[in-house]
Amino acid sequence: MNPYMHECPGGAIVGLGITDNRVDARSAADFAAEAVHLAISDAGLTLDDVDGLLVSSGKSGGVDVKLASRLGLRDLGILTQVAQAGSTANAQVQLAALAIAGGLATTVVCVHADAPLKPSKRAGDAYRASAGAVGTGFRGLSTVAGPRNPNGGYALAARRHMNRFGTTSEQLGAIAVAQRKWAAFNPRARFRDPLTIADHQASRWVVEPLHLLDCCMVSNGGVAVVVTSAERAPHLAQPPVHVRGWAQSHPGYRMERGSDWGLRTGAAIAGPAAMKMAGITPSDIDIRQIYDCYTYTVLVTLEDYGFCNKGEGGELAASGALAPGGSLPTNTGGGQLSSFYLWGMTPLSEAIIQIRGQGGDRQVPRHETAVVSGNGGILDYHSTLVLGAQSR
Amino acid sequence: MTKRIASAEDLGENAAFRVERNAASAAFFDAAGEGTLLIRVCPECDRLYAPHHKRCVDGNELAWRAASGSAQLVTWAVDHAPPVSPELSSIDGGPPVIGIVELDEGPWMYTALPGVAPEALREGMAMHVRFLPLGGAEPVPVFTPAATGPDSKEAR
Repeated sequence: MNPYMHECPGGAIVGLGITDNRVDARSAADFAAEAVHLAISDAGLTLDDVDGLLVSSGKSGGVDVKLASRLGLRDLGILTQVAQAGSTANAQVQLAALAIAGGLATTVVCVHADAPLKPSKRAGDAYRASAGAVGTGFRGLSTVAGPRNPNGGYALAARRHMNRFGTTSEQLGAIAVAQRKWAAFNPRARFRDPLTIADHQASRWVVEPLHLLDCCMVSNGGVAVVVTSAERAPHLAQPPVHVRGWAQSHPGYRMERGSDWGLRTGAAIAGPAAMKMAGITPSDIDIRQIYDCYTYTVLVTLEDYGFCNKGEGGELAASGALAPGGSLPTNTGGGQLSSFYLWGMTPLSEAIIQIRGQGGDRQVPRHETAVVSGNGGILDYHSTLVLGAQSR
Repeated sequence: MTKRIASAEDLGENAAFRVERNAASAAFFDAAGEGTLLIRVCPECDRLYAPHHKRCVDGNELAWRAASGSAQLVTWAVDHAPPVSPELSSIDGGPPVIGIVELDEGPWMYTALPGVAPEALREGMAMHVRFLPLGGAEPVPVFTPAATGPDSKEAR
């Protein structure tokens, strides 16, 4: 059974709004509203044109269906919250395109916003859970035995890959270094100073084998995109970004003998399925925007998408192919490691910018086709989009 | 050596972390107190699970079964965040090591690996359970290399 044999219903992204990332009194809902206004204006539309809204909340919560009334949206044909962690943004676009193809709406806004940082709070506190002094039952045991946060889970996965394939910390560092090179050309990026492998190696351990510079930052902000039909897209303000292929895959790992947990992700199913739907192979893709909660997530996703063989992601990263001037431009805005951290909207927004040719100093010369990955949980949830400047 | 003993300041309010039983884990901790690791088994299909599972994929409620306590190391990581208990430190008071082991019976378990030297760990290494009465409370299953302490009754 292959559910992806049919043609892609299409649809196009015609508006993009990205807020600033300043930490101030703004709530996640404030950022969300701001991002929606920016995206609608970018598309050359008004709020009266919007008849669908798909919202996504981050770590801080607070972005829900009530955003519609706050924005003054009326007579929406679809209004829902999508929640699959880092794989949400791509899924929002997929659901928007399906809603449009299925007649529920004509113009759907997808928005994600988060505000976990407070002016008085340290960044680490935003994602750190306090264990307390007493744990109860098996939940208590998990505090002692398991990863206490995503850092631990991804460290266990990265170590497994190192054990199996000889991947090194320096190879993971090459991903952080390449993305920082891209970030240097992105005025929006938070971290733009040059980075070396030595800097990466000298950064403190978070959960070994992950250094601090293997880990994404935490950001406040919002991103919204506007989706409409492929037919209507060319008549709006921006160069259309067509949805050409898609898939999701959520592995549901069995944690038992024979499991490939940590070594192979949902990208191994969703990536090839999305490319098949688009009628392309990895060699046809100009730009890769790969979800990068950690450097390791980029490495394993590139393998699963077929940009190299399984186990060769470390060599690929160390080759310089992912960096500016390399043969496989990847995370061209600096990603969540260097630019800003808004889950799947970070890679999605950069793909839109590049396909439109609006990348400024970081614009990739060939920008017809991009693949965008979304990843959530501890490699638990995956979504893929193939986007193109042309509809076919 | 960058390793150090975790100080009371590092540990803060978590200095005496302990695990308390509830109804769902009472049988597990009773067996642990006698040096036996219980895992879960489906009474219908005989499929085995790590101890925290409640239902089989076929929907049946799981029963308990004694495991051998022998396992192989799948992966590990050294957690440099403030530790929940000094009793979980790696060798020489170093930061705690967490891991996944594959029980000889098949299921994987997340586990603490107290007292180990991280550099000496290898994928597939033989491990054995022992029980650590963390904070003087319920015995918590942890795994160490089989060569250095296979006796499940010997807490430390």
